[in-house]
Amino acid sequence: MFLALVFCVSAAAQEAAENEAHPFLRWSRDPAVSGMAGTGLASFSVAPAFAVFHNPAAITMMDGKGSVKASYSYFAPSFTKTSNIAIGAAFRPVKRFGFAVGYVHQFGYEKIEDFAPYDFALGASLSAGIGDHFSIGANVKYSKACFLKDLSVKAISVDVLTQIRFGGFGAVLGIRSVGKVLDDLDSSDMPSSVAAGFSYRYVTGIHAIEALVDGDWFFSNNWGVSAGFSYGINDMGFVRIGYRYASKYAAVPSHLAVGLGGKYMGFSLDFSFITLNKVIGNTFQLGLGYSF
Amino acid sequence: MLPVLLALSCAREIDEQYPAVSGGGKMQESGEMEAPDAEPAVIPGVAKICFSDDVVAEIEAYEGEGIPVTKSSRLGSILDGMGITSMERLFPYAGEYEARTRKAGLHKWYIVSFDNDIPVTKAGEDLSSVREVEDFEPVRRIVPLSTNDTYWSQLWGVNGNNSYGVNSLPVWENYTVGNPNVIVAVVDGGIQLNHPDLAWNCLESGHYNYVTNSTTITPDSDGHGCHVAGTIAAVANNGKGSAGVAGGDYAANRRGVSLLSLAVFSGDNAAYSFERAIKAGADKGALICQNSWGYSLDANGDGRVTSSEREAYIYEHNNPDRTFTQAVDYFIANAGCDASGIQKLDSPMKGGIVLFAAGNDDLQYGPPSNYEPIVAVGAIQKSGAKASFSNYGDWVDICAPGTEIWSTIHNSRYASYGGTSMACPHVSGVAALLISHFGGPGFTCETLKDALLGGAREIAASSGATPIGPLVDAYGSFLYMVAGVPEPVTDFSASTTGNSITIGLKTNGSYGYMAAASKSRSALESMDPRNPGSNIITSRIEIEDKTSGEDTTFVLRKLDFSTDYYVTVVSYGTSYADPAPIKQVRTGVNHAPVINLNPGIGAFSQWMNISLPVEIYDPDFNDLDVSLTTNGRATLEQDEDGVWYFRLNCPVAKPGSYTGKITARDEYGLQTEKNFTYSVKENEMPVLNVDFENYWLLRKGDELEVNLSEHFYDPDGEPLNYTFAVIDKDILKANLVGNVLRITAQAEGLGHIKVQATDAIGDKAAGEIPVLVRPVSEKVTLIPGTTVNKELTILASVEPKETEISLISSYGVPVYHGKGLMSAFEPVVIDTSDLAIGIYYLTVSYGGGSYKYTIVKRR
Repeated sequence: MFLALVFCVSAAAQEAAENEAHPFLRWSRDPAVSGMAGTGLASFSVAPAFAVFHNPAAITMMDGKGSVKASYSYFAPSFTKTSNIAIGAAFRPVKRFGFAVGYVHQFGYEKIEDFAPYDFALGASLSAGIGDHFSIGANVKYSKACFLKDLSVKAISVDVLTQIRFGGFGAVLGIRSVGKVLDDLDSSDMPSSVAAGFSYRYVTGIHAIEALVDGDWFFSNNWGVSAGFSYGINDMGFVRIGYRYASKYAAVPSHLAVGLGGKYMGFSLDFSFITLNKVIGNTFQLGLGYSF
Repeated sequence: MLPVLLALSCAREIDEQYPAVSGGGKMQESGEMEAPDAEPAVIPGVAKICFSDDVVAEIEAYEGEGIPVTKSSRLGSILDGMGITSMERLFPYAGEYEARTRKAGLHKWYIVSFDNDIPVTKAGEDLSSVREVEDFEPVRRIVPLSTNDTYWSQLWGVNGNNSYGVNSLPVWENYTVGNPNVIVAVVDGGIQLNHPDLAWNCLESGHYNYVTNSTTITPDSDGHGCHVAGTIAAVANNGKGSAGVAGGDYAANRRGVSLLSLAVFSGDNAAYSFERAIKAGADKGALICQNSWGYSLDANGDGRVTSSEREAYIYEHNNPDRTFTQAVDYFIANAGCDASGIQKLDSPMKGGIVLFAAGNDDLQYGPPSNYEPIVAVGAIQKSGAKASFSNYGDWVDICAPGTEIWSTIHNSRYASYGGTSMACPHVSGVAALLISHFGGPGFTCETLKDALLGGAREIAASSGATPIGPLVDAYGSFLYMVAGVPEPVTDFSASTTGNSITIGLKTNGSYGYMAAASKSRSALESMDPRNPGSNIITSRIEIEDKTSGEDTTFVLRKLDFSTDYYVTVVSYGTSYADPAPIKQVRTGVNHAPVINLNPGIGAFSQWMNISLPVEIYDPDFNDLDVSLTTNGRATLEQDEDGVWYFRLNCPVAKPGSYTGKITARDEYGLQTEKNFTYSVKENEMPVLNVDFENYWLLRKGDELEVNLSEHFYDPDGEPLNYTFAVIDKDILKANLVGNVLRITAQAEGLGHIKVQATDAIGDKAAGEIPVLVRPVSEKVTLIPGTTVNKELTILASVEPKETEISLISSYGVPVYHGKGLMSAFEPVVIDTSDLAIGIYYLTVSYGGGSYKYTIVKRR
């Protein structure tokens, strides 16, 4: 995955990579997305309940009036062994306008100096449709990571994305996690990126397949590309798979993900599992949602 | 008593030609013996009265104003008849010394002022007739015993150019130039205390003016007191004016003896009581009482001597004033002593010495200097003959230079004076030198006087019809103190080399030995050892411990070549013994100087500073002119002992090969040359030839020592200078003791000390000492721990082992990964400065074990 340094000289320090603060903002909280390795910016099938953490432009493109969802993740069971819970809700009160809110809380870190570290983020979204095929949306998020009693980092960031759909084709373009670390101006940057996503959905009878590609070019010169595939039957059962390939120090590393989903009477239940990564392998996510 | 009153005298100035100097001489020329308009020889309206004990008690008990009334009606009526205007103690209340003052009876003397119209003689007759008056003395008119000369001359009394000087140079060179704790009271005209040539040796306080009864010192109009003071202690070697006998050495910052001015002349006036000053000198700490004044034959100074003046002078010679003798006795008995008569701890002498000028009347009388306890000083001329004016007689104890004497005078000037006034301070100076060197507990005025007179040397003026005593001899007096009586030398050897004669003898306990050689046997047989003469060549050797039976040699040099000489040896101490039997030897031919090069002269390293002795001498003991010519920077220098040294400061010499030639030439033109070569090698740099090992200390406070000389080496063999710098000051501290660096652990971690060795030229070699401070039990150590900021250092145990290290963010982003060998002294240092603040997971796989840590990156 990355080149190893060979150390043999004690005097010269070897440099650790520059990395970004609050990487958890870039992780999907929706197992329907996580099951495709985070692919799904332009998805037709994923409800936008977690638009705050994903694509706010999708709110005005959703099929119903609204969507809510909650999820639980057990992250890197062989490594950090942390958990997170997230809730999100998106509403479209009128055809061409919608909004969403969301909150995520990560916990379960090993105590350090009698302190249990945690992260959280909360945010809100607005979305506007322009005609039947184009929409735009924006998120504003406040996030905070607490490491010790006297050591925490706060940040404010925004996402601005546009989306277009024609028939079975969808595309998204925008910027994500552009913001500022409030209290570590010297050494930490946000994981900001230019993001793009593409999807194609084909439905025949009770079968629906969707192929997706997402890509991010991070301001830190890292990058990540993911590809996902979803198969749905009768709009009730779903199988998902995806692979992410990312540069060495990108906020979300490379991995393979698979997922399952079910939907009935507006309720949905989704599951995802990550593998092919020594660190975050075996991470799983479970989500329960309702769309109306 | 009455005749004495008529015989009061006044000293006269003596000019440089001396013809009318002395009263006697002038009397013979003029033949006039009467002086109808003579100035009174006593001061009218004042007298010294010694009262009986009961009257003294009455006076002391009287607390009213004016003159006390006594119970004696007779005394009272006499005093009333005199019209007394004031009466005070002649010798004032003396504080801590009052008891001894009273014991000496000095408290009974009063100085009384009365009506000028009452003749002093009448007052004396009246008062002497009552029981309550024990003694009566007029106040004499006194003048200094000096005269002005009109031209400058050398200080022949002290400079050693004249054989009749006081011979002080050997004392200055070998013993002392004076000591400030020796105080000389100058009872004379006031000293100009700020005179540039006197101020350094004047006491800061204690001076007194007995003319004005104040502490304001005013020089007399002739600067007589200054002149006397300058002969004693004008500052020597200060580039100014004159030099006193005991004036110190300004250039060497050695002060001379201290001058105390007790002014009895001030301006044109004289004090009523000179005795008061003499007595006060003892109470003020003086040990020497210097007096260059006396009674003049021509008492009234009219240029003619009357028969009555002469009779009075002779009477005074035979009947000194009681106040005077009491004051002198008091000084001699009490100077240097405390109130109970014990020598003071800080005083170098018990008792005092009083010196007086003998007088300038060319008479066999000299009041008051003839008083027996006094050292009376006569004067000689440059030729050694008695100065024509000097009084003489067996009562004159000693003589000294007294004509053409240059010294300090008032208004910061200098002048040449003549007189016994000028001779006396020469003796006072010599006495001061003796006390300066020999003074101390138990040193008495009797010892001093014995040395002063015993060391003086007989000259022609010492005997004959007008004797003035032996000539003061400072060195002679010093020898008198240290030498002892010599034993005659009975045998000696004499061998010749070139124009020198080497004398060999066995010491016999004498202080010194003088060899004498002459071409004339008769000259040698009639030799005066003190003044051998120009046709006799001498050489001396002095043996301070005066051991007997030891072989000693010394050389008579600079004789004629191939010539017959007669040789003898005289031992000496306080005097000279009889000469040893005369031997005859023949000197030889001249021999060339000898140069023996030091075999060490050759190749030198650039760091060396070379100083090698070179044997250069003349076999005939003649002086040599030695020189070195070279195309390099070597020099040839002679030390204080006469040893020649080849010297080369190699660090400033360019590397290369050079030639040199030493030439030694004797004073007769015979010379020797020696050629040689020498070279200076290029400096080689020091090297670190033994690397420093990895040092391990277990805990804070543990120490280790590293001998740096075991690690650094200089190919030139030069000594290395070591310096060090502790790089990790929070972990280690160190100090250098000689070549050993002592290192102390301050905290756990891996520290380094940079060490540098510098050779004499400045070339350097450096090394670094690694020191690990950590308990043995720990496998992996993180520095500074699990909370990091800019740097994380990871140490393994001692041996190098394959290690893999990974550092991953809490969201799985690997921020560092490395593998390789790691040991305690080869740590992995990770620069964490660019890491975002947060939690990271560190895994260290080392030696088969895996160690995991949660790391927090702080701001």
